[in-house]
Amino acid sequence: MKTNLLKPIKPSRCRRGFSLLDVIIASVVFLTAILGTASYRYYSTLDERKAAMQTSAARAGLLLCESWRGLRGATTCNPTTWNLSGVYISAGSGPSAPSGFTTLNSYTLTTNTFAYTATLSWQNLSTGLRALNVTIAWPTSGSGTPNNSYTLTSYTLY
Amino acid sequence: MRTHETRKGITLTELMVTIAISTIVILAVAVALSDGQKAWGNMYGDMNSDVAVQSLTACKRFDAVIRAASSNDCTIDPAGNWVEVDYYSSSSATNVDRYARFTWQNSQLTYEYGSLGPKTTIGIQTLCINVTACKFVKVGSSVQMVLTLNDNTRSVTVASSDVMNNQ
Repeated sequence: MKTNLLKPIKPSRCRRGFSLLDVIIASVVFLTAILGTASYRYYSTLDERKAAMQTSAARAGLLLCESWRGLRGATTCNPTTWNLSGVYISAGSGPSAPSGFTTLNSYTLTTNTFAYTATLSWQNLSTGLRALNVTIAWPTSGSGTPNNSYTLTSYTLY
Repeated sequence: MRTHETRKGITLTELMVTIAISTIVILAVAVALSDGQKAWGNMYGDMNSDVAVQSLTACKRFDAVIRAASSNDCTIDPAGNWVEVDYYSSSSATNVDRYARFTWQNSQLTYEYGSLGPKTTIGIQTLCINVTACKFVKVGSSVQMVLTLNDNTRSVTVASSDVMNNQ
């Protein structure tokens, strides 16, 4: 009769610590969470800035449009003479006017530390009725070539 | 005979290494949370701070009054610190029956309104505080308002322009 009495007892294998695979998986999960959080924060801040720029652009465009309408669409309108504190307007280059509109002038406009370019243009629709157009453009990054724009059109009797 | 050594507990070295790593991780998380909270506070403040809300409220009131005003009854301060208009209280009114006056004084923008014939003040409201600049300009039959609020944490400038009625 064979017995195992003389066979050495194999000590139980005791596993301690983490394997390389554990560490890699944990690192990937951790980095994914960090990158996700950082990405969320970056884009939320960027979107907030974009929203602020759009709001400011809309108000600036409306300022130009309504003021020009107050002058009944006069072709002598010159926003650089308005002398507004907090909104700085000077002559400069701007976006092109829509097709069929006659360009009055282009301006550089600064408010709330954001810089915009604007072009005023007009078109006579019928005798005594004039369409006034304000196109305002701005770069999303705050500087460089404008890649966003608003176009506001108003109508006045002249 | 001892067959294997049973190790219990942790060594001082392991403890110190663990504490060091934990400290680094906790500091990194704390900085990230603090920075995130600060960014959130800034973003929230841009939308909901007193200067943001008050400036928009003032613009809304200014827009509503000036669009209902008569261009024949508009008086404006040569320095641009105040503007007074007579306006129609409703779309069915055939005559201007109210007056309104926006005044920038002592870092406040106030709105006074009342009835006409005889001129009687109904109320005076403070629309904004912390006003560092405010200017009213008349351009043709439109009135412009450029308002700057600064509460030492943020500054907001809003511009508004509205055309008055021609009657």
